Amino acid sequence: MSKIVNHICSGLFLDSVVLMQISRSIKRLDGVEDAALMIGTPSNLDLLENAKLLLRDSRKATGGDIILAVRARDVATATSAMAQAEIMLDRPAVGHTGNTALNPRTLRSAQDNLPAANLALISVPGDFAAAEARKALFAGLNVMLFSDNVSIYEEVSLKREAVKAGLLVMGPDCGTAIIGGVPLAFANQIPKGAIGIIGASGTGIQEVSSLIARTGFGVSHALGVGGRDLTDQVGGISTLKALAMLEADSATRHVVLISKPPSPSIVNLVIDALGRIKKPCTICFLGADAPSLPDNVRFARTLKATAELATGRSSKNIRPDFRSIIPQIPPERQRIHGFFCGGTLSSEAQVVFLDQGVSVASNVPIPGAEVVSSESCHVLIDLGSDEYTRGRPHPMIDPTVRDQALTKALADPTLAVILLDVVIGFGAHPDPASTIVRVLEGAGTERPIVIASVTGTDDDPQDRRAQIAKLVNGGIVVAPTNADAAKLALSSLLQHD
Amino acid sequence: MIENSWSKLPNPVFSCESLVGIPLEKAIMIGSIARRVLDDIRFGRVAEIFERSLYLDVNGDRICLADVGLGFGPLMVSVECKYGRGWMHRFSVGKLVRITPASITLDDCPVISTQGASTWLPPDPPIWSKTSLERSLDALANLSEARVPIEGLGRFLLACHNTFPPTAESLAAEPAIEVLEEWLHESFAALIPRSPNHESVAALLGLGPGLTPSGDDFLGGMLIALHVCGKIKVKKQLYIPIFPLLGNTGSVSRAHLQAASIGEGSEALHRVFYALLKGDVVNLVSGLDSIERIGHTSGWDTLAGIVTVLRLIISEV
Repeated sequence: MSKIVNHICSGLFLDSVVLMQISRSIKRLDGVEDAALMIGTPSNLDLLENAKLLLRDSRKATGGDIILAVRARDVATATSAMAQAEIMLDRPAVGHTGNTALNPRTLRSAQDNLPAANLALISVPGDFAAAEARKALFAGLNVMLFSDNVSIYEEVSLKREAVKAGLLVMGPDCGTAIIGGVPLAFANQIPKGAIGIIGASGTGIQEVSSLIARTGFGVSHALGVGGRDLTDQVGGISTLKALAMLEADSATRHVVLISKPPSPSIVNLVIDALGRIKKPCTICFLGADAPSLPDNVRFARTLKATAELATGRSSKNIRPDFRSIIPQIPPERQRIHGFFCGGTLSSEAQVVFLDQGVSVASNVPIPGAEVVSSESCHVLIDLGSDEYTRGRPHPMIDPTVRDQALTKALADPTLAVILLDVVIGFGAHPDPASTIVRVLEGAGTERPIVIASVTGTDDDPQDRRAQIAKLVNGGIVVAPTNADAAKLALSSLLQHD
Repeated sequence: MIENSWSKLPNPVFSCESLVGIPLEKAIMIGSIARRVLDDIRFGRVAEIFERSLYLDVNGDRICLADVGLGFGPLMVSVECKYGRGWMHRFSVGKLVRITPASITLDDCPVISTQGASTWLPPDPPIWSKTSLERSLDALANLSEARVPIEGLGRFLLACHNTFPPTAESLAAEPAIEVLEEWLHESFAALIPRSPNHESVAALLGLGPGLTPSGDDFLGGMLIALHVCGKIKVKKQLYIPIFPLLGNTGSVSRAHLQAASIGEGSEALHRVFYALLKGDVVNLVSGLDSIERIGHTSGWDTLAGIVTVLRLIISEV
């Protein structure tokens, strides 16, 4: 015989959607014949009575109560269903794992557990990111805003609020930072040192910090400011704040600034600020011509040159006997295609091409380069740009998008060289070299030369040496730096001359 | 942690900071009923708290403090959640709230600034004709047939509602709605309309699932439609049996019914309603998306009440 159980909940406030969801879930339980969860108005009590769901005692319910009614095949099932419904009504109790590790669910509880913290890394969907960032600022925390899809209006507002509070907002869309030697998000294992980096570009920071590490130097802090910081709308708010912080930081003795070309008014603003600080600085506005600079500031055209100026030491140069490592290229192969995970690495390669007087096209062209068209000869593609990453992971995490492009390019009889970057470090794919080698194994022997560079250090989880070894064993020419890889690709075409 | 000079930074000071250092959220729009309550009354109590809104009991009236994302409405104080919805966590049921001309205050600490907030009122109804209304009711039938939920009373906006599988609430509501349709028909023709059968109103009031039961939403839709279409005497007659029964339903639903009795519903509802009157099918299409987001079935239930009135008004024009 069926059993009816009722429970009247007073002072329980749940949205209609939640009430309906719980009601449906209970109805679906095995052995439950019918169930309802509704407010206890006289009409609903009649409804429940007609549905044989109401106990006589429950007639006392009012419009201010919620009545939970279950009819099941036996007492045990009805009681169990009622217990489950009560758990659902009290959802905060569900999902407790008993895990004692620090796993705060809110900024406030994180602060309670770590009261000395002075930085919050925020990675939530863009719609909620600004609100979380404000909470962090209000709590006196600097903010690294990993989230993207934050409006420029919110960005400006947050950055202004931060500056008023003496704080820094890194981002939005800030994917790379190193704070006091600790890599955050997509960053590399870099020794602590005296060079402070400010970058409106993630892979730019990664390449420069890795090159600094490879020459035996270290980084004090690397601060991402977001790709829009040096636009007219944002006005370089975070760049200027970061500059002030690095000047005040006794561990930083040289400041590096990396960015796409800022707007002219912002260039002057930033250079004035650099001129006022008492530390030597190196700036790299990839694709821009050198502006007039104060005495303490030097300008670098490439990321490689930036690292060299900051450390005072040259990276390893390309072996002059490149013809011995570059196989013979048939004369019908005349074009170079590059597929980059790092947008800044693509920009740097474009700088190298343009500086050699070679026209180049890109989906994200720097000043002087062209937009890709069917007539483009040398093409350098940034696979991290929006058109390639919308709805899928960034190629640094999942290189599928590059594998597809690479497969197609390997079959192109007009291509002489394919240029690649391999970015390793925290957050990146665990073994990007192997994925490239696997794609090459599927190609025939008649294929373009593949030239790559590896951005990262030997201390990264993927180990740069191990990645290079895999690439070399797979038949890929590996250049010491991204700029060198671009130069080597151009040099290989000289074989035709 | 950021090292060196970074670790000893001053505490932030915000321009919108309240006196005791808690971020002050800002109300950007206050519904007409909520505005009247806030202007007249100095204290209230927190009555109900939901995920994105909470209700204050202010001398027996309800006003709703809500995330601006929920849209505007007569009872709503729409709060721009600049710091997320953390402000809501400061309220607890039963807590005393002080209302000042400039803010809503808890424990002498302003939580929501109401200064400079605009007042929301339903816009003036559009000019409409029998042709425009017929066109949009046809379009509505086509657009909504596949979208109307099984639960609730939304099915009654369709003439062919019998194609839906019956539910307990639809079976209970159908005879009452038929009686009300007949009453509307007679009332529109009469010089002095009379009150509807009280039993049919009682059968609908508080009927069905949801925080605002479907029957309440349906009656609310009827009241709004009658008011907006200028059938004020008929509306008053409908409200006569509703008023003494308001105590039977939930407090939130009661507040919405009271707003409906002066012709006021949510902004989204008025948008769809006016699109129907104008024969504006484009806005009708986009408006239905927002109707779908009102409660679980509330938007559809209210629209069904509106359409029930409009169908009979057409036959009278």
